Amino acid sequence: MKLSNTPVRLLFGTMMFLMPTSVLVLSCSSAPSDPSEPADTRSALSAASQSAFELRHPRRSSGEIANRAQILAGIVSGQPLDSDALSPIATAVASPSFPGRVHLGLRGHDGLTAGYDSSRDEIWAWNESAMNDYTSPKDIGLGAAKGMFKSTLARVLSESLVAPTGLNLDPDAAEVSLIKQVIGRSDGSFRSEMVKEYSFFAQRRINGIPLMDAGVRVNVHRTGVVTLINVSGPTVEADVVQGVEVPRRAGRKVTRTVPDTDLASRVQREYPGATIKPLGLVYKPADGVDAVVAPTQTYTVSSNTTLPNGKTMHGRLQYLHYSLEDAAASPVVWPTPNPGATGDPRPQP
Amino acid sequence: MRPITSRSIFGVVALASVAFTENAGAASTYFIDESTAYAGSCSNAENLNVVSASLKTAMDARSFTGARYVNSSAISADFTESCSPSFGVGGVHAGLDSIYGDSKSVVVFAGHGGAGFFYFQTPWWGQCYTQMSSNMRLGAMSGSQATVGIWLSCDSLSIDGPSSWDNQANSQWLQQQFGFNNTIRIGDNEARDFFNATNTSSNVNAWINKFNNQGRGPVAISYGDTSTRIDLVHNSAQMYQRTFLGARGGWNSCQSAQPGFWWKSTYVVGT
Repeated sequence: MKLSNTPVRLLFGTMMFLMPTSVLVLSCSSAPSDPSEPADTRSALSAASQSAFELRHPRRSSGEIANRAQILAGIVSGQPLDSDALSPIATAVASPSFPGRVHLGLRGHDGLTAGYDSSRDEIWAWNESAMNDYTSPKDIGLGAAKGMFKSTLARVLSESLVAPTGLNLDPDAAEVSLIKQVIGRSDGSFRSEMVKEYSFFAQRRINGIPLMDAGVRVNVHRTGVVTLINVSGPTVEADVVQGVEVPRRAGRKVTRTVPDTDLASRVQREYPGATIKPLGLVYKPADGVDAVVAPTQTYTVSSNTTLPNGKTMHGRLQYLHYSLEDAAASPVVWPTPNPGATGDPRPQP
Repeated sequence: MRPITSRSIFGVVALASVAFTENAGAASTYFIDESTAYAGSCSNAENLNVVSASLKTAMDARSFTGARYVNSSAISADFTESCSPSFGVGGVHAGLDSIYGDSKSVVVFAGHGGAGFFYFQTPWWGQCYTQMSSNMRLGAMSGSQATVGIWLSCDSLSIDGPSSWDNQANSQWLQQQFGFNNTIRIGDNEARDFFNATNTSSNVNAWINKFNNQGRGPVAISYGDTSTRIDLVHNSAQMYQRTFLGARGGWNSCQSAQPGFWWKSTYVVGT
């Protein structure tokens, strides 16, 4: 495969940095490299390599939300649920005063909860009873837990709760974290530590670039019970052509004019002494707002301050999203600082 | 898969009975300090987003009462033990926790911080931080009302080193503490969403599941006199339902040695 133009080279470099091997192979095999493809197809795929996509938050009806929650909760509980169990959520979402997020127990199913957040089209189901199992000694291990994650993810896909586009289904490619439990006595006479749950996250990517806060999370208790499924992220307005997502509707091509080396120097200059972590290219959706979103060169920064007692203070992280098209543009800082914030008046002593 | 079944009537009654007991006399109150404007006299750290305003609104909506002080109104003395100057700045200036941080059941700090300490925008007698080990005795000594600590700052409950909690967080006398093991970002409404989730979930599950993403490493710790007690607190406490908000009690004498206790933690780490 010959990477003869800049956008494709950038895409390839980004994929090398960001993508698990299995996805990289899949994507490269479908990259616009076949000279037999029509010229307009090759052109379209090259343009899609770094594009701005319209990211939409579906306006789901209360019935649709309840139905999705019912399916998820059914997977988590291991048994079908009647629709009556979900009626509290349907009622809450249908209320004119619905605040945009709900988290409720399911009627007739003590220990089972589900929720929905409209700002990220996020829906989840929890098995609280299994989460609260701290005593069962059985531990199926990470390998078997991965198998549970794989089968659960397949079920979520088969139920059309999320589209497979941009999701790496290989459990070895998932982000893995451990939810651990520790019990101890203050005098040190007792201490017990073990894994409680294995947590897996399949990141949604657009042509290899992460779409922030979008994907599927599955937690598996050490006994093998699925304790949580969380599906989140906006809908990407794209057509998939030869394995590449091509923007439609208001989406557009992005022509990168700002080299990443310039941005790396800039962030170092603007945040001296801070801990800076490059995240590569990232799509950052706007919570609850439909928008055309371009990829940004993204860094996290955290200040470091040495206290008089020698301890180091690590500042809360901020994400800096730099434009690829406008070198003069200020980065989008998220979360947005508000130094002018005020609270209650403090009484004078 | 293990099927979910409704618990027996006996179990529900027993749980309700415990909840009632834990509610008796408990004050649904809060104290919040938040710093967002750091480019000033204490440091040149980055300014921050506001993360406790919507939490306060949500707690008010549940008829909790309390105060939320921000920036120049938030100082380290609010969390510093007041019973003796030995806990304060230079061993001279005693803290004010008995009328601020340790006078309410839910106590919150939002801002910058580090392992076992919080960093403020405004200095108090020249000091911009308060340290769990040497300055703070929330839930104990003077005040003794704090029950739940929510630390919306980096590394507040860091597990770096096996004795980190023993030397820092565990020197408080709270029923529960919630914080982070890593350097993290916090969205404007995430603390609110955590609180609201405790409507139907335990504080522990709500905290862990809310913040288990982007490597934030959420940590929840519960405390009690017995192993049975910590199981009960860990699995059953729900702020939204106002359960387990009563003062822990039993460590009131100034500068006395901490009584023995059990602790139980759930936390998230990467692989």
